[in-house]
Amino acid sequence: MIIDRVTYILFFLILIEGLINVSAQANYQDSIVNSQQSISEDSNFYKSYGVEYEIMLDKADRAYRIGFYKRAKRFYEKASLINPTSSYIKFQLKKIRERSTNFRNSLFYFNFDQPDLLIKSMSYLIGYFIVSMLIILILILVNRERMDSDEKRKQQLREQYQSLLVDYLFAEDSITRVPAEIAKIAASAFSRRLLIDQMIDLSVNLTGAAKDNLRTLYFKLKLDNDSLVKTYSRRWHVKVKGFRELAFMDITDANDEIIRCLHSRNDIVRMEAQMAMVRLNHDDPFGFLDHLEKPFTQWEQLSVYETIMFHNLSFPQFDRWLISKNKSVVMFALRMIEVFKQNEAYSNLFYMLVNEDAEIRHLTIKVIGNLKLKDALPHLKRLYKNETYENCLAIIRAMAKMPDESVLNFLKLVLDKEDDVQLQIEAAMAINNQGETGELALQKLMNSDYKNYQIIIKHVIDKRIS
Amino acid sequence: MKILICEDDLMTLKALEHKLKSEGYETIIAHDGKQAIDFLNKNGGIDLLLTDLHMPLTGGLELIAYVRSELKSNIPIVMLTRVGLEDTVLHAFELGADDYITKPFSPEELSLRIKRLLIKVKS
Repeated sequence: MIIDRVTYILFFLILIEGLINVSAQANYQDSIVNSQQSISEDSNFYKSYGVEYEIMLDKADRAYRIGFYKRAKRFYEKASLINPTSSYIKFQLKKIRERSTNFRNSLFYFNFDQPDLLIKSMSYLIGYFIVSMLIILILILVNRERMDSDEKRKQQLREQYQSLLVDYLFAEDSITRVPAEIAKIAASAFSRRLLIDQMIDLSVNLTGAAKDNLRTLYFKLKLDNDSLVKTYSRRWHVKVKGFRELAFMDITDANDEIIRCLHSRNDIVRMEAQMAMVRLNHDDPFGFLDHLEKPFTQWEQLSVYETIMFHNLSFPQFDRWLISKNKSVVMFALRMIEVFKQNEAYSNLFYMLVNEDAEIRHLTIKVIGNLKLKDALPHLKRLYKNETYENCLAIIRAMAKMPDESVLNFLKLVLDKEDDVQLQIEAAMAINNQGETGELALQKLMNSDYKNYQIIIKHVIDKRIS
Repeated sequence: MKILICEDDLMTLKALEHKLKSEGYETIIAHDGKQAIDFLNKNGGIDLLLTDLHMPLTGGLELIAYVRSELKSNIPIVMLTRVGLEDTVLHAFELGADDYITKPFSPEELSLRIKRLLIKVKS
C-alpha cells in the first residue's frame, strides 16, 4: 500500500516536472542566447589562461552537462580563481545556485548529485511497468480466448458424446457391438476423459437395463482401466475422481486401495473412500465404521446418509455400532436408528441412557423422544436427578413428545421444585402437551396460592407464543 | 401422442426424449417450469406432462399447480423426483399430479407408467 502511494506521488511529481520542464526549456534557450551574448562581449574570452584552466573549465562544463552540479560548481570555482573576471563562469555559477535554491529541483535533486539518472531510472521503470502491464494484459486476453474456445470445443464434444451414448443405450437393435464412433472417441486420452464424465452423468439418473448397458460399454471401452489408474494416483483430487467413477460403475477391483484410504489424513479422500465403500463393499457396506479411528464428522455422516438415500441402498441394523469406541460412530448410529425407525434397536437404545458420555446420553434422549418410546419414560424419570442441565431439558422435551399420565406428577414436581425458569417453562409445556388431563392440571396450578406459577403458565398456554 | 418433458438436467432430458421418441411419442422439451408454462399458454394440446420437481426459476410444483388451477387441464402429470422427498411428492399429489418416479429411474419403468396413464385417460 505504501509502495503504491509512493509510486503515485513520484509519478505525479514526474508529471509536474515534465510540465515545468517544457517552460523551463524555453527559458533555457533564452539563457543560452544571453550567455552567448555575454561571452562574446567578454573581452577576456579569447585570452589564454593556461592548460590547467582549460581542463578545469572543460571538466566543469562536462559535469554541468550531465547534471553533476556540485562537481561542476567546484571546478567553476577553481577556474574562477584563475580567471575571476570571466562572465561565463559567473553565469554558470549563478545557474547552479538558481537550480539548487529552486524548490522543484530540491524535490528531486536534494542530496542527489545525479538528477538525470534518477529521472531516467524512474522513466525506465514506468516504461517497464507499462510494457509489463500490456504484456500481462495481452497474455490474459489470449489465455481467456483460448480457454473459451476450449470450453466451446468441450461443450460441442459433450453434446456429441451425449447423443451417441443415448443413441447407443436406447438402440432398438442389439448393443453387443461398440459403435465405431464411440470406439474412435475412446482412442484419445482427452476425449476419453470427456466420455467418462458423460457416462458418469448419465449413470447418475439411470437404473435397470440402461444402467447395465452403460456399465458394459464402460468395460468394453476399457475405461475401467482409466478409473483404476486414477484411484492409485498420488494426486488426491484425481484419486477422488477415480473413487467416484468406480462407485458409479460398481467396479470393485480397487477396493483394497479404497479401504486403505479410509484412514487417510486428507478429509476429502477419507470421505470419498467411505462413500465409495458404502456402494462397493457388497458384503458389508458399513463395515468401515468398525475400524474408523478418526472422528466421523457430521459432514461425512451426511454424505453417507445422502448416498444411502440417493441410491436407494439397503442399510443394516445400526445398533451394531452403539458399542463402538468411536464416539462419532455411536452418534451416527443413533441418528440412523432414528431416521430409519429401526424398532429392533430400541431395547439397545435404553443402555445408551447410562453411557458415560453426556453428549451421547443427550442424543439418546432426543432419539427416544422423537421415536416416542414410552417404555423409556421410567428410565428418564430416574435419570433426571443426576443429569446435566442440558440433558434435563432434553428429558422434559422428550416427555412432552410422548404424552403419558405416568409423567404428569413428575412434571408437576419439576415445575414446583426447580428454580430454573427454562426448566419450569419446559415442564409446563410438557404438562400442556399431556392432553386434557395436562391442561386441567395447569389450570389447577394457576389457581393455586402455593406458588406464583401464573406468569409461566400464562406464557405456556398463550397460543400466540406457541 | 404429445408429451411435454420438463427437465433441467440435459443428460436426463436427452435420455427421456430419446426413450419416448423411440416409443413413438412426439416430444416437446422445456428446460424449466417457465418454458413449459409458456409453451402451454401458446400451444396447449399436449397429452401428458412429464416434469422434474426441482428446477431453476419455476419448479415442478408451481408448474403442476398452474396446469391444474390456471389452465384447468386434466392431462396426466408424471413427476420425476429424488428419493427422500416424500413430503414434496405428497404435496405434488395434493396439487393434482397423477404419478411419480424416483431418480435414478429405469426408462422402461417410466415408459410403462406413461403407457398405463395414457390408457387410463383414454378409457
